[in-house]
Amino acid sequence: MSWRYVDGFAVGTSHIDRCMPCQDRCASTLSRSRDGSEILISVISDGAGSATHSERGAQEVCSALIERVAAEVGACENLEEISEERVVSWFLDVRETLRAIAAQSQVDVREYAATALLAVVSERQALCAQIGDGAIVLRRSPDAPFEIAVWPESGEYVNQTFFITDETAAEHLTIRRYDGAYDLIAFSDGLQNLALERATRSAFGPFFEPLVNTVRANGRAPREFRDELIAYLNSEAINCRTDDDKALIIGCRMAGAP
Amino acid sequence: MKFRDSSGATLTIAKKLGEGGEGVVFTTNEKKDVVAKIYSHPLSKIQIAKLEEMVHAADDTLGSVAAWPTSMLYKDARAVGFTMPMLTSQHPLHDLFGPKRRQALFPNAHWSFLVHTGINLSRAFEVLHDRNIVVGDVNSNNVVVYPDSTARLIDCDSFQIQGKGKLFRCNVGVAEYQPPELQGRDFSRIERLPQHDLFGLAVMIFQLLFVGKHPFAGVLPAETGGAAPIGANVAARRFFYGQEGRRQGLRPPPGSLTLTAITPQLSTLFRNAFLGDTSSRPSAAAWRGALADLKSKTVVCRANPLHHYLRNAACPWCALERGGLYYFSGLGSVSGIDESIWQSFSNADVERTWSEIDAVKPPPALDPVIAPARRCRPARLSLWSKRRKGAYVAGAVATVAAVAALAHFNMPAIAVYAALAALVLGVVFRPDARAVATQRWQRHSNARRAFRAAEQSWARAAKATPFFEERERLARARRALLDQRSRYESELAGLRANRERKERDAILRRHRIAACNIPEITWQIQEMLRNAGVETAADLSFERLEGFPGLWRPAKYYLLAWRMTIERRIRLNPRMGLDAELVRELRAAHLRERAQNQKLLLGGAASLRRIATEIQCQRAGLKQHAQACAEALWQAEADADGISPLLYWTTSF
Repeated sequence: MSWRYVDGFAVGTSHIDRCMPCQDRCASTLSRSRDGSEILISVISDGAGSATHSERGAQEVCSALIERVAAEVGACENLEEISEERVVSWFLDVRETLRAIAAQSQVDVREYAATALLAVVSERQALCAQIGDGAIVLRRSPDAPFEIAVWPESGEYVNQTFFITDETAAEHLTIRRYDGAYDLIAFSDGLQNLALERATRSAFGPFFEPLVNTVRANGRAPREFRDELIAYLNSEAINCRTDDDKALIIGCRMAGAP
Repeated sequence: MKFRDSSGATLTIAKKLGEGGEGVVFTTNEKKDVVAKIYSHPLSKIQIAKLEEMVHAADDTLGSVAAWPTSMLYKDARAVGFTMPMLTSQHPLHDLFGPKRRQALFPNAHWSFLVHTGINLSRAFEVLHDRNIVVGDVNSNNVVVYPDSTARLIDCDSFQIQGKGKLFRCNVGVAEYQPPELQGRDFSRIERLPQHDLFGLAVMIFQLLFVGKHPFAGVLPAETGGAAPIGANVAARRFFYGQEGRRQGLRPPPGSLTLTAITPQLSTLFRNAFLGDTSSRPSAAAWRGALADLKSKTVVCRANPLHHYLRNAACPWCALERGGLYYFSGLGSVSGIDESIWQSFSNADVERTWSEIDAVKPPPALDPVIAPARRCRPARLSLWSKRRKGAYVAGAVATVAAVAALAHFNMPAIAVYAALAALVLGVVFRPDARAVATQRWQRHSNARRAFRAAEQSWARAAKATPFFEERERLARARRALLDQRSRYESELAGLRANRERKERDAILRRHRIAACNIPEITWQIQEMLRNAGVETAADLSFERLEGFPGLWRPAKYYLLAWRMTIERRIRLNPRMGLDAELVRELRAAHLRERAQNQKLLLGGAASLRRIATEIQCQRAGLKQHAQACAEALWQAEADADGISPLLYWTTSF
């Protein structure tokens, strides 16, 4: 049992026009729990457009969270061992990291505002956590439909959301557990309009189907494959439907050895 | 002074060891393993009965966990004190959990050592509670710890004991270690329960695990004033570390561990002990079991051999050190740790990690040049506004009228007026290329600036510059790690040389010129030198003596030769100790540097991979942006070139 995954992010056309950097970031890694099964850890973070250092914020959220989670998951027997309190502590620790960085450069930590989306999946368990927008979609078996694991959480107003830097971040942390996954897709808010059906609060299957099929059939080196994903994210087909930054992670469980 | 003990043997007191509010502790001449406590006031009947009861209950097990009274002491058949085992090389508990004192007194104590002390402490309480003895005045001054992590309770005569149907109370207590239900109560009127002790025990165990932090000390929400005495916090059950506390807006002091640093089992025990009621406080045996479980789950950090922590978490000490807090830095010990510095992350480890870093491939290099995509035509100059057009038409009409008036109608006056009107119109509404040109030039320079920035970002991404910069940083860390040992040793040698120079100076300073016994150095010369502050051999040097023009030249040589003779005679002790403080500082600096570089290197492969991904994902956007900027620049350039100097100068008078 192993995971095959690809992740990438791309700048949105509106950001290019306004000379803004890409504020979406993603990171993934494979870890092994102590019972030997392979675990895929994915993180997506979207920096707040209104904050001055949100690009760095998103970057730090990804690297700090993935490092912390990989270390802890690697030491666990299985994912069930991880208590909710511990998950909360990961996010709060990342916030402390951001605070330390902000304090170092003497900037308010809110200038590093970013959302955080975390998925930790093994064969039998999936742990999803989220502060802010972006969504995680799971398919539990080859013939099951795609289902929403975590729905984007928006704030009081449209275009407003929660950030990991918020004082009340712990209150807006959504944690969900599922009994394993066959496919995992996580994406930032830039892709929400393409992938989610708001009216029915469901996942738009035709968007995901080709993605997971491509990843599953892929035999190329990971880097070339990422180039392909980025080309897709920068393609006209995507850009004509969203002008925001976009980050995407696709993970597929493969039978047998990698 | 002579006393008799319970067996009738005579004891004479020798040396005073310490003095408290109640009495004085002495060594005795007859028994080396006991000390005598003599009360400074006459003992009451109850006190005597309590002490007799305690001596009666004494046995080896009690003696192993407490400085338990072993015998009464009588003076003229009147009880005046008691004997108890002599304790040596012990330190009060707070010297172990407070980081500063610990690093000086227990230099090699790591977190597991603290956990183990907690186990021993729990055992001590277990033994006492089994015998229905209640400590009562639990506090970190009444517990002593030994270098082997065993713990003992002292000040036993204040314990509450049960004897012959009578209760001997404990009349004292410290707010920080007393449970909420006893806060502000009069201790002499209440019966103390083992559950009261267990609160104090839980506080001390917490202080051991959280390196000195008190569970009820922290930051209160701003609206309540930010801080309160610990006793008040205990009474209000403000435990600063749990979820409950977080909900109330309580925050632990900065630089604290969190409950994730200990096992969930221990977190639950702390919660029960601090937030539950009297009957739900965990017993000493429960603490002992949970601490043993924690101890079996600790691991040693790869970055620093003194960092012990719970294996499921990331090393919390490293995290605290990043914030500048060094709880286990190896600052304390001077010997014994040197080898472990180099062994914890050996050169072979460095090279192995480096080979991992070396294997990360940079993103493929791309052409950093942005080539022109198409030729640009200048935008049309719109010098001809509607108003101007009208004015020019009117001017033309006036000119025609003037010519006609002159040539056909022979009316020179009208011709002059018409010509004048044409001139005025032409001058007032002259085409002004200057404003347009300025605007275009401004736009051009803006476009050039934007393009330069965009091109630079693109070139960095295309050439994968950030990747190579990071690799260079890692290579520097690797080099620093590889040659650190030789740098450390040469700095240590530098300290030694410095120390030797100081020693030499000290010896030279002891040789006074007044006592040099050279006939040529008369008292007048000595007087002259002394007036200028030259008094000992240490003050003599060629340069210094040159400053005395009145000094007879041979006298200078005599003096210098005298100094050299002394210097030659100096024999320094080759095993002369170094200044421990300086060595400690040097080692601490190197440990910090090493931990930093090691962390950098261990995270190096991941960080390089992250940067490669970053570059790969950013390239398309950056190129597109640079291309767009380039096109804007070429257009602006063409526009700026489109204004001819002739037009500019003819229209801008």
